[in-house]
Amino acid sequence: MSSIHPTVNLYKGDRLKGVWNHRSYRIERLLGEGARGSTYLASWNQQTVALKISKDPSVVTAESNVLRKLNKVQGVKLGPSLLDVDDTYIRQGSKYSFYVMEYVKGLTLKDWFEQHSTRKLGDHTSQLLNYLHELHRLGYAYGDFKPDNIIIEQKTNQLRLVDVGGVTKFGRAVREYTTIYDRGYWRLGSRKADATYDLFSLAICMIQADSNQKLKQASKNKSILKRLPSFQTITPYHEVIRKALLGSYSQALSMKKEVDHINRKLLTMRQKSTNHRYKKRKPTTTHAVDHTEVIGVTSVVAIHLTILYVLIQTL
Amino acid sequence: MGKGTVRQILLITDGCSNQGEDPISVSSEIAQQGISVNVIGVLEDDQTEDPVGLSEVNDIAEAGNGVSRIVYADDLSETVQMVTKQAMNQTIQGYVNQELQQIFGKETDEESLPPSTRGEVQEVMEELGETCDLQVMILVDTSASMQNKMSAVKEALDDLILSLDARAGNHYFSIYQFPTRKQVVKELLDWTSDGNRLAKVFPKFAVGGITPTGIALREAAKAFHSDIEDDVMGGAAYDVVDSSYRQSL
Ligand SMILES: Nc1ncnc2c1ncn2[C@@H]1O[C@H](COP(=O)(O)OP(=O)(O)OP(=O)(O)O)[C@@H](O)[C@H]1O
Repeated sequence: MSSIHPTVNLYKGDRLKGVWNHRSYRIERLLGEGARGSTYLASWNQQTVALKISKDPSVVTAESNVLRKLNKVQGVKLGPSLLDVDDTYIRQGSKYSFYVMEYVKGLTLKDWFEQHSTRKLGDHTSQLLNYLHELHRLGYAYGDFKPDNIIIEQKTNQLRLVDVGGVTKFGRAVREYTTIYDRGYWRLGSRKADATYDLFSLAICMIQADSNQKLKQASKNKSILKRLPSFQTITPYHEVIRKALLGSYSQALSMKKEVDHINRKLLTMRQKSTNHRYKKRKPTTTHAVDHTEVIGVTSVVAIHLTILYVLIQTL
Repeated sequence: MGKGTVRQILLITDGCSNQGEDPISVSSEIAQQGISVNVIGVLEDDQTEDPVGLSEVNDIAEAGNGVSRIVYADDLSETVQMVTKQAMNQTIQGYVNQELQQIFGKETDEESLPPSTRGEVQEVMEELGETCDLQVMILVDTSASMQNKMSAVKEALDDLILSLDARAGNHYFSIYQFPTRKQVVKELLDWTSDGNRLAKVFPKFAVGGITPTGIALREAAKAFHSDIEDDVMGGAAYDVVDSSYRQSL
């Protein structure tokens, strides 16, 4: 038992049959693996599901316990729905525990950051704070809060938190964390689970949306507060982030209120600058908050001119 | 530190033992006393992840009912806290399975219960893991080659204390080094739960290529008894001079 890695290698086409509930799953592909096990995409009765399997049965029991609790919450969906928990013999050999959950199809927030950087950052943050608020109301911290564990669900366009391995009762030691999002790692507080622990991780995610590379640099001498001004695409949120890093928000909702306020201000600024532009017929870059919009208008004008030119030529 | 205490040795080393007793058999003896032996092997940056010289690391932990990992210095912080936690859970799991066998008879362990019942057992184990007392003796290899890894070791220990501080249960740790110029093992820090005392620990490094892991383990394990017995010896330096070791210098 001692030194083995908890990952279980399965291949496309492998069939897992549950010992207790007798359901049979077909493995499609690996979704990801980590320190506590592997998650596979699988199918059962023409349904696509996510299946987590580990050499350490306590991982499966602990995580399915948490999912069961979260699934009871009405209203918001915290975590994927739990569908099955069972044991299986792999290739007639050793016995492993696994659990099956709803497959959340979509882009992880990590992929989103890589493709779109800080676009929609305010909206995403606000939505995430809402989930954290609901979770905190139950007396739990999410723990391992990071962009890899957040999926923008394709079907609903809503954010979903997957991987509940870090979910911890308030007042207990956080069960699972990833160093760069951990406030202990930055020496800015303890590893005891509370609301401020998650808000800290969320603040790091916001910073990471600006530049992962600069965040890594700052981690070398653990100087995130000092470096904060250098993350320039998120300037409007600097104050909120600073407060979250320092643990000044005791509740997700008080942080959400300030984030929403900034979001509204940015939106009106954007609308004003758009109106302004239309009135003057010519875009001015001085006020332009939204550069994509500027490019949009110029390219539309350019296309019109080109078409006009082509028409004149053919006439 | 009575009944509800989990006891561990955490050995941090970068090489194979090359002198004195076989560390694997010492490790299994220590395990019989209810102390698990966990080992972290630290790689040089240019070493592959599976070097031959470090295979002993896994064997010592296996014999000592413990957990082992082989990692680069950069990953030490993450690894040290994880190994400590996993080893503790493993000990608790062993204990709970024993209890289950008393209730349900032989061959019963958590896994032979249906998954729905397992959840409750799991919660009991988590509760124990959070609230039990934990005693960790950290045994650091200070042979010459470890010198450039020592800042990473210190950072990892700082980080470990942070994790221990977050638990509800008490914890005590002590730090021993091996070898020094004159001794097999030397106490650097006596049992304490005060993380601030870590900052004042500065090991001196040995010269030459001697790594007497077996003897060091045996001697370090005695520190648990000095504590379990009376406190007459408590606080006294626990330096051990091994005669065979002296002769070899
Ligand atoms: N229900 C799910 N639906 C869709 N994708 C999922 C689901 N659960 C997990 N994933 C994806 O699989 C990846 C791997 O998850 P997994 O829990 O196995 O490990 P991890 O988060 O990478 O590491 P660790 O085990 O250390 O937490 C996640 O990052 C996530 O993107």
